[in-house]
Amino acid sequence: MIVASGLRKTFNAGTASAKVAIAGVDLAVAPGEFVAVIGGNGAGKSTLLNLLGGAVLPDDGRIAIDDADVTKTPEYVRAALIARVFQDPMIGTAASLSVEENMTLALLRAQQRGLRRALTGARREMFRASLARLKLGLEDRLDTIAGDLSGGQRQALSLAMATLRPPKLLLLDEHTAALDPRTSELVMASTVALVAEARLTTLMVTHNMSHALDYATRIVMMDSGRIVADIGTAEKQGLTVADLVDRFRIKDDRMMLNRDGLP
Amino acid sequence: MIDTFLNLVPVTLVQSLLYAFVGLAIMIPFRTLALPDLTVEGSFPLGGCLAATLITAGLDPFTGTVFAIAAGFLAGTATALVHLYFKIPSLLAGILIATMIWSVDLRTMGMPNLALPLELSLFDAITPKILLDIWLQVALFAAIIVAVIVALIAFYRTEIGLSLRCVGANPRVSPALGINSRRYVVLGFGIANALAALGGALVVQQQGYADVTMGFGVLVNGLAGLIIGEAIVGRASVARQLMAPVVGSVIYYQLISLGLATGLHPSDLKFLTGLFVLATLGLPLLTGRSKLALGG
Repeated sequence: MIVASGLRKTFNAGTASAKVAIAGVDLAVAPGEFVAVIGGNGAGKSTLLNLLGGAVLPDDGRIAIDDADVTKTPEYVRAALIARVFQDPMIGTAASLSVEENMTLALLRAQQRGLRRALTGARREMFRASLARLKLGLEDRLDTIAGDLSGGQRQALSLAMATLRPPKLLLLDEHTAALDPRTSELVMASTVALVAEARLTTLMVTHNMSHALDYATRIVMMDSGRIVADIGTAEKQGLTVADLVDRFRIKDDRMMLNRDGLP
Repeated sequence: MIDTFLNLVPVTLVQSLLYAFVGLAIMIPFRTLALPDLTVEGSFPLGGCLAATLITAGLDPFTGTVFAIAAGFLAGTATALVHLYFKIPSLLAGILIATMIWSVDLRTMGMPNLALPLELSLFDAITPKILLDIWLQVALFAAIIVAVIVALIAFYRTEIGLSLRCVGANPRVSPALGINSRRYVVLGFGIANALAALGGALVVQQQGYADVTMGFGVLVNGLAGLIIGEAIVGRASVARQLMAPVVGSVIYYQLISLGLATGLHPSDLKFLTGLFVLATLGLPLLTGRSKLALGG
């Protein structure tokens, strides 16, 4: 159970450029829930993810993971519980390290690092099995430098890294937005399969309304740093992309472009 | 003239194998952590001056050398902490610490230079024959640097070593992968400057004296060696990246020796070395191939 209560965050507080990014957010995510977070640009979606992941600390409020208060826990400690896939394929992996070295680092996310050999035969086998499920042939390219992979492959690798050791919470930050439509669907299909298999608690920021409708069990809509709508599984039934856009008057070009049936 | 050069080959080899430590100490922060560090200009003489002081005061040369290594580690740690907590760019932090070390060296020795009788040195303690035979010195120093490289390769392949490389490769993803970047920057700077101090301690015991000015210019020489080495062995693997400063140092010092033997004026050396570093860093940029450039 992930519980955020009374979260607030203002960037550049006290200056002329002060920007309220999160203006009081309460959110409880039950184990196994797949929550899609939607909303216009500047609604606070990415900041919410950064607050949960620990990359940004809140001005006010509390974040708990399974009753453990992690509000002030630094990102590198919280990484033991939370895994993240970034929007930019360049950020989620270490470009100058090989596929297997990146996977090793992901394996060590939640454990003490020692002077043991990082790469062992057993670990390589584990990586092969894990990467094979992405069906991109990455299992045969363990020693390829991550920077030599395509954007889609890197994003898939990033996904495999995030799910190698099932986290308490998986954060997906528009992780298919930088990919071409076909690769985007491939990575999304892998995401859905991996999340379902390990019953991962997931928070996915997306601009793709049909991804939100098709795959999430719950849709949370944000505007001006607040949650303005929370649509559960039952209520989600029968909703179309057009309904979502009309109902919440989404002011977002990218969402409008994704709206089915528009010219 | 060529005879002079050939006669000097073994002496130059000894010199280059010792100064290879400085090249390694420049490479680790610069390439592995992507945070250039100038502390070597301070940690190298610190290791030399401290070792000379302790050994002439009667400490056995092994322990004296270990103290020098520890002092170098602390110097690197200091630079890393200044960079991380005072948010001072790593280059400036290194200059600051190196400058402060100058006073520490003078205080330690009590004078600007100190003779270290060779019979007190580490090498005499191993076997007195070493100091009489230049080729034996070449073999010994080659063995030491090879052992250090092998140890570093093994370290880079451990879980901690891999995490260290990740901090340099992608500082944004490191914390998301559970890596405390600060701790690894401190560790990397510490290791690098411990190696520089070890180099200083060995140089002092080989040449028989320590001098507070012994750090002048070692940075540019080390950088030139690193660049030559990377041009020859490349950076494609951990082993290549770690061998590059050593291979480069050996070639660089032979080139300098050749230059001096063929009439190059010693006082022009620093200018020419600087010019060489600029050319090797700048040419790839001008021709559109920026592999060796600072951002590399």
